[in-house]
Amino acid sequence: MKQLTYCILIVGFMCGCTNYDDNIKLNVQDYKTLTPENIDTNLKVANLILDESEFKEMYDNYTEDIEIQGVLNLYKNGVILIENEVVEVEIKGTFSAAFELKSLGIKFDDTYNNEDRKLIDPEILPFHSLDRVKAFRFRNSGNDFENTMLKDMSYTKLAVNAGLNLDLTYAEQTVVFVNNKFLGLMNLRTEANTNGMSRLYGVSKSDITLAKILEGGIVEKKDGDFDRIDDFIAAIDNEDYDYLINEIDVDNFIDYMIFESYIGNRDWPKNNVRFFAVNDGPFRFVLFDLDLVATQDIDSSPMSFINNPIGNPITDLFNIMYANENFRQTYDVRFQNLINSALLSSTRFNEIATEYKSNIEHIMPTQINKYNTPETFTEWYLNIDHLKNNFEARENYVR
Amino acid sequence: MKKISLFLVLMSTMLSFSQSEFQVEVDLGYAFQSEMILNDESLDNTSAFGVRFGVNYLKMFNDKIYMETGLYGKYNRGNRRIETLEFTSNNLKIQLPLYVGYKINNTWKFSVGASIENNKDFDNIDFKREDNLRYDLLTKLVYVYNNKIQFSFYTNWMVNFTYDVYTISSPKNGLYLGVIYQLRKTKKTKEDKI
Repeated sequence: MKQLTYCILIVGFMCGCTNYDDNIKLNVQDYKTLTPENIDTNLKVANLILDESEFKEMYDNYTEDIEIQGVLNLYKNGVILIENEVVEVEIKGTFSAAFELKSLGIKFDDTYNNEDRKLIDPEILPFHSLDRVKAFRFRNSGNDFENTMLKDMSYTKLAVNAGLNLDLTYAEQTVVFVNNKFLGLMNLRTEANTNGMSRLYGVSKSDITLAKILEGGIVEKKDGDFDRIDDFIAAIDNEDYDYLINEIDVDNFIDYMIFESYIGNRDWPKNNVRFFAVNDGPFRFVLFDLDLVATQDIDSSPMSFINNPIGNPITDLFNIMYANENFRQTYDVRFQNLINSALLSSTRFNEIATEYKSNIEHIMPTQINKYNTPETFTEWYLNIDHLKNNFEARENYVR
Repeated sequence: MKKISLFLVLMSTMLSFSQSEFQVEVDLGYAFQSEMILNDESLDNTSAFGVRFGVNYLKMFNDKIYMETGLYGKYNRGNRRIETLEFTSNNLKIQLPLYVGYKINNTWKFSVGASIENNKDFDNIDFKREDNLRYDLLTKLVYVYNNKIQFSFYTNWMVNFTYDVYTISSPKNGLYLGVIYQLRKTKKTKEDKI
């Protein structure tokens, strides 16, 4: 019957449309004449010097693994922070690589010393380090590129502000130029891969064992001790609680499951899962790629997000752990404490999103003029309100 | 709310009484709501110009009571301003109304009802969400000028909660004056139909 209702209205929906005509009251900078020197912004400004033909070939053939070499310069308020640092550049992303503005993976020739926080300087969790950075990306905000340009960052910062026991990526809004031409507003973001995790913990890449869970719940072993990953997955298959409780960082796992299911990430846990261990330490789980959070099933329980209909080892792992009385009690208490606190409230989320919005408000009209996405400045504001509304709706449902 | 929309759709397609009328109607009016927030700013102007156009289908229960349904396009145009931006919105939505009416005398008719309307453009529809549709309470006062022409005063009052991102281009409430043109009247009995 629900389908009947929608069928009758579907023709009407197809006719429905909304458009907005903007009259922007800000000084809109013309992207065609914008340079790293004349741009008016308090954001960091990156200028990549690359071979034009190599860059075009890489950009046009974004599905191929093409890596080119170049030089990175980074400015803030006209002052140069990083000068002529040799980097390797490649296109990153899967679905989001199809957007006109593509994410760029940037790898330093040598690990970059960020002790002075010139490259990236966000608020970080006390057990993390950003003193050394091997690689990062200029991210196009992923699937959020057409909407707000700040969604993933806002959710991540919420987790950081709440002091959750999570491993994650850190980001800073940056204006990117290639060969002195405006490429776009992007998010300078640390990596969620082996490089990224090794730098967060100040250990060598060879100390990390890391695996991914890809779309459909498929496990991909990436680096380190593959036998250990196999044993871990086998223990999940065998529902071996005693083995698993010693193989995972329980506090991290609890915070990870609570946060992902509380915010309502429908593109998880059958996808977008990474777990890693430093040497013989327990496996920890990485929070990343939150572009599709709270877009579907906002009125679904956190448990229904965890029990994704597409089978995957993380759902199985959680159910094995949650069947244990001690774990369940610890999990439930932590869940209630977090949800009832102001740490994960919509008030806090709105403050974060508003701060990120204010940072880029002056440059968004330029971005929209170049990429026509979202189509108008009005729609960008509406998208941000929509992001906040969705969080609030999710919060109201879960509480 | 899904139950309401289902009820309205089913009722609008299941009318089978003796006398029926087809009409076309055009209304001009004013849409408004008490408060509107965008970008954490309260907007000064929360109103919009509105046009409704569509067809009505009326079925008489008896000499006094009738049911009315139809299909409408609803266009709103509004101008809004926040600190960094002034913008004009143009919005076209589809509305499916259902009324129960009372014929006061040969000149005046009054009806109350409800409508369902798309809350989003088609490319934003997510069938797993509850906010795809909006629901309005309707009133309609009709003055019968002659056999062909009638004049109407129509109001709509949104009854479900929805965020301003949806109503900024199509405010919650509306007052419209309209003209109705009578296309045809048919008189049928149930026996005739059998």
